Amino acid sequence: MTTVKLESSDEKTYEVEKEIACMSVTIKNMLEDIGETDAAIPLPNVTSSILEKVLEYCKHHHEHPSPQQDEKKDEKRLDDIPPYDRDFCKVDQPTLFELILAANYLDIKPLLDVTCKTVANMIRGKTPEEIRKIFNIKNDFTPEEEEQIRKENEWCEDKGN
Amino acid sequence: MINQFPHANTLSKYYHFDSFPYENSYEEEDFQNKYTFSELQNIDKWINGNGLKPLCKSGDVFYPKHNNSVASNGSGSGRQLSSSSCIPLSSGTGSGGSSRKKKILSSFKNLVNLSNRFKSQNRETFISRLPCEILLYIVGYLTMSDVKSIMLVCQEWCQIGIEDILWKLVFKNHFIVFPNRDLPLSKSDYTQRLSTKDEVNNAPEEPHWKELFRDRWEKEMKWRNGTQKDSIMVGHTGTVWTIKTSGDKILTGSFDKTAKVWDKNTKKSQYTMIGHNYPVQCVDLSANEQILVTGSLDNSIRVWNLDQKKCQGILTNQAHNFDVFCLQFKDERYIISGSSDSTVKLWDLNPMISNDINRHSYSSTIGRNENNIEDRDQLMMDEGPHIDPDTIQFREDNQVDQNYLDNLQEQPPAILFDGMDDQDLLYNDSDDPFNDNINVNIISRKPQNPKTQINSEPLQTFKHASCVTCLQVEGNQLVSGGSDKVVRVWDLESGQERAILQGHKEGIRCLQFEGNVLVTGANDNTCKIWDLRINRSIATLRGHTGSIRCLQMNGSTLVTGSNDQTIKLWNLNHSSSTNYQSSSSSSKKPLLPYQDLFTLSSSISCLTFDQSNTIMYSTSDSKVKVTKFI
Repeated sequence: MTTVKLESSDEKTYEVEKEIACMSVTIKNMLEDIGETDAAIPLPNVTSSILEKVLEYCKHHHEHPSPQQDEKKDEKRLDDIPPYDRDFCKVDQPTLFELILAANYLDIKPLLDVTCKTVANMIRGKTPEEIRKIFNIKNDFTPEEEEQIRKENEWCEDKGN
Repeated sequence: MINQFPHANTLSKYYHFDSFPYENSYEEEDFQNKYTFSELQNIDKWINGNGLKPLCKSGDVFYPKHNNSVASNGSGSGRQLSSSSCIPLSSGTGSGGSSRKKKILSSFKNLVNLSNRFKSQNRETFISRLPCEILLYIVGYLTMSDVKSIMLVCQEWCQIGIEDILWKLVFKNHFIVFPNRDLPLSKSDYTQRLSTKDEVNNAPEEPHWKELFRDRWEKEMKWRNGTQKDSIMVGHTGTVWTIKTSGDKILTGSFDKTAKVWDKNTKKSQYTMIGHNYPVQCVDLSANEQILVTGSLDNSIRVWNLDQKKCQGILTNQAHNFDVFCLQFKDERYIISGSSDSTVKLWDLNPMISNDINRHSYSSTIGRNENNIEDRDQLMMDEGPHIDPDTIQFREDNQVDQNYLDNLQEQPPAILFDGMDDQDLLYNDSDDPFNDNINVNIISRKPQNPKTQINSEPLQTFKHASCVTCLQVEGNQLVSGGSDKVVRVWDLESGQERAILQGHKEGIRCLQFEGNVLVTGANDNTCKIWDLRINRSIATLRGHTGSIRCLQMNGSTLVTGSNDQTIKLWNLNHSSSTNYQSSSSSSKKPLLPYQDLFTLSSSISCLTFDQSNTIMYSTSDSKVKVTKFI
């Protein structure tokens, strides 16, 4: 079993199975480009704490491959997050967003999907005020601006409910 | 910037001694020239905002000159690098040389991904650290009402709602039923789009998704809340069993043994087909709107030529051994019919159409159907000498025909001809129904033996275990459903059965597929949605309390008619709306999975609807009711 070394931004080195590391397309491409190497692959955008989480995710999914249905699944459904992934995403916001950034940088699509879905679920069905509260966003609209946006989007009011 | 990379100078020296193939391309000034100050700030902020150190403590200043090619073609440039096999001679720090280049590349790749199109002044919250491409990706999971909320959160998020690409995602989420829905755009798609949008103005025009969405959305709202404008199509004297729209014509088949063609705009009867000995169960019109086929409980299929106003032939009583329940044209030349004799048969109408005096139809179809030009050319050659005069004659004929139709339209509205009043337009087997005053040309071309009985064998026969009640053919795929409770998917060319879809507990009554989505309605009071890629049911629609008699789907809109005397409207994307409840504590109610459009006093025998929010349906009282939602 070949292993590769990954180095986080805070210079911690992790030795992981190559197959697990290669769930990251970014790392996979790097390895292909470099060829065999003993040197640690530096991941300057990922801190050790996040990298540990990411590796934990990759390891789990490497050991428990999801059924061969990936392309058949409706990618737009938000209620189909598997239990492990759901628990995995039960983290504080900073961690969650860093996971997203790491997944994006490392190009691990399943992780990116599941973290983004988690955020989407946090937004879904909420009022603007609720969303601001959840993400600690300041309302920087003037009342006039807010009214105008409301007006412009009046057509998409769902009167059916 | 420089301050942030204290080792910049030393490292550039290091690289200078390395055999790095791009050494001359990597210049500090270059980097700074490439990026505006605000962009640099942004990158800066992004790096720091992540709680990360500066990219890495070495090599940061080496940014590729041709940043686009590196960003978009990472592997390509990577290959170049490895082919130069530039593992540095110096060990120690050198061992990182190659990977450092990777590091530069990959970090850079990420930086390029950053979109700077939105100002990021107040990035103090966690979520605002996300680059906008990721925000878009997240928002792409949401529904239209969420997008609306998002636009009201803050200025920055409001910008997101302006992105057309977002509306494309929302459109797909809302109006395209799952198995047809494209996978979400890949990351490269939208980064590419975001980056090229400003530069390339001559890119192919994309539709305005927001407007498209709005148009469809407002139509959908009309179904739910619109006021209704009714009219009635009167003419049949028995229950209307089938209704179909084709271009600007409406086709109906009735228990009164006739079929009628109506003008869609005026809702007036244009033609009445008389000849079947038993009720007409199914009708279809060729794409060129000239040939009408009808299938009847008298086991026969009749072929009518609307231009020549005559029955062009009969697929004899031996066509099927029992009632013909469903049929459909394929490519203007073939028809596919299903019957209670448990078979689906593919017929070639060509002998019938070409034996008869009908080169006019061919000359006129040539322009319209380019697929079969070769065949038609062949036919044209056979009949060569007569083509020109006949074509002219045909046009005259057509003109008179139109005049006649114009006259028709002057008739009082709402009350349409019954069988007797428009007798002059009747077709019947003896072929003498024409009003001589109307069209001399037609009479003069009256064929010797109009009632061509074709005993030819079907090209293909597909077998069910019981009565075939419904079918649809699209390209090479035939889907048929029957009383044997299963839907069968066939390959038309090979005649092979591709799949059997099991799941309904009673016989199938109606079906329709669009791409990979198949909807079926059955006697077990349910409809099912199937994914034709995996040939499995992905949803069951419950709500009717009687057999589903008829259905039509368009995008995410499904309308069903049932023996329970209701017509229901379904939103096929409701499955994604129902998890509103489970996934959030919000007060927003899920969309209704269905709503009753009409509650009537007898079973619904047939229905159809069109893009203009007009639904046409019939119950057992021989009238076709037309309701437009406005």
